[in-house]
Amino acid sequence: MNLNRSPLREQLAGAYVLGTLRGPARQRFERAMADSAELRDSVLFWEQALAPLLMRQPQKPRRNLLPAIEARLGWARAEDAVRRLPWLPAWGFALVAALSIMLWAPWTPKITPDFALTLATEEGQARWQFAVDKTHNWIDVSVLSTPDLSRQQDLELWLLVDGSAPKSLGLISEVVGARQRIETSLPLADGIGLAVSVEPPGGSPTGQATGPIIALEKFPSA
Amino acid sequence: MLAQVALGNREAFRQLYELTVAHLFPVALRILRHRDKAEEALQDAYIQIWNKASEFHADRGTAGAWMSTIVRYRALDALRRKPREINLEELPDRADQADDIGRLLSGSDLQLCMDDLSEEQRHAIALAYIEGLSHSELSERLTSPLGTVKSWIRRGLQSLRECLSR
Repeated sequence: MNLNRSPLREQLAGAYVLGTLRGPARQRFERAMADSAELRDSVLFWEQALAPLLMRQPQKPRRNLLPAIEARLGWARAEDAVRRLPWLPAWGFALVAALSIMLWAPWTPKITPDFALTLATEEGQARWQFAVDKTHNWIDVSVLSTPDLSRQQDLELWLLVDGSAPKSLGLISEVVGARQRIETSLPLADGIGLAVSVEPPGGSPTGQATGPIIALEKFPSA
Repeated sequence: MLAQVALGNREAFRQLYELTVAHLFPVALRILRHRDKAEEALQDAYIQIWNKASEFHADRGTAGAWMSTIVRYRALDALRRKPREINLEELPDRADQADDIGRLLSGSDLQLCMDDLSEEQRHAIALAYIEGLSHSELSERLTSPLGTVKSWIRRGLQSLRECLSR
């Protein structure tokens, strides 16, 4: 036992781990922690001491989070990850695709997209409709519904590529009913699917998805 | 297994996920009280677990404690970005609160030391930790003045620290 433990340090470390240390004080503490091994030791002490309180009746999340986690880590097995997602029945997909193309037709009279894609939440709520033209490298986005976002959050669209991390296609609108065309220099023909993640304002600062992926769908031909 | 994960073994990471997700999800759910948000916090936590696995040292605690601590911090982060709305459906059962704590901890050092606290101190610390409540939320939940709640926490932490070092 270390008799020199400063009571104040222990109080702050305890309050930090407990979560009652908040706001600017919490940020100051985190900065101080980066410079002080003693402070880190105190925090570790409390983390280990209090952790038994977290033992709960086990409960699984409703959906398997592994595919989204793997996609965010940029693992090569994006195709595998997509396969693990529950699928819309094939006829449902075909119907949606056919309807989408019909709906899109008047809006893009000259060039017909290669295919349409609808991204839905795990609960089956349709969020976005995409029309993808692989030849001319554009995607039309139509917002059907939006998730519950704070002002500090934006939605970013990603192209899933086999064998590398998802590539950003930019931000998409949060306004229901909005339509936008994304013209990209990324070769869409190399993509295997689309995903949408929640990111800080202005999009991911790292060029890779940093926030949770809330929807993901494979291209029909991939 | 964490050692394998630290070496970049993806299959070990997938196994780790399968083994731990049911234990870690309730940790996030208790704090965020919203399934979707808890699942998002859990995604963040597993990514951190993958990236930081090499920083875990078995001589400094158990892997379970390390992982659940990461989940707690990510859930607290999510709470700070967007404070929870009262969601009655996900509110914990009354029965699951105070008296349950003893059962959870049976036999551990923490239990012996929690037993030394006053009931108010014990309850305030457990609620802050398990549900991520702030001082003012605690004051509301325990229908006690803010100053009183703060002093329960402060004195409770102090006694715990002294007791656990014995």
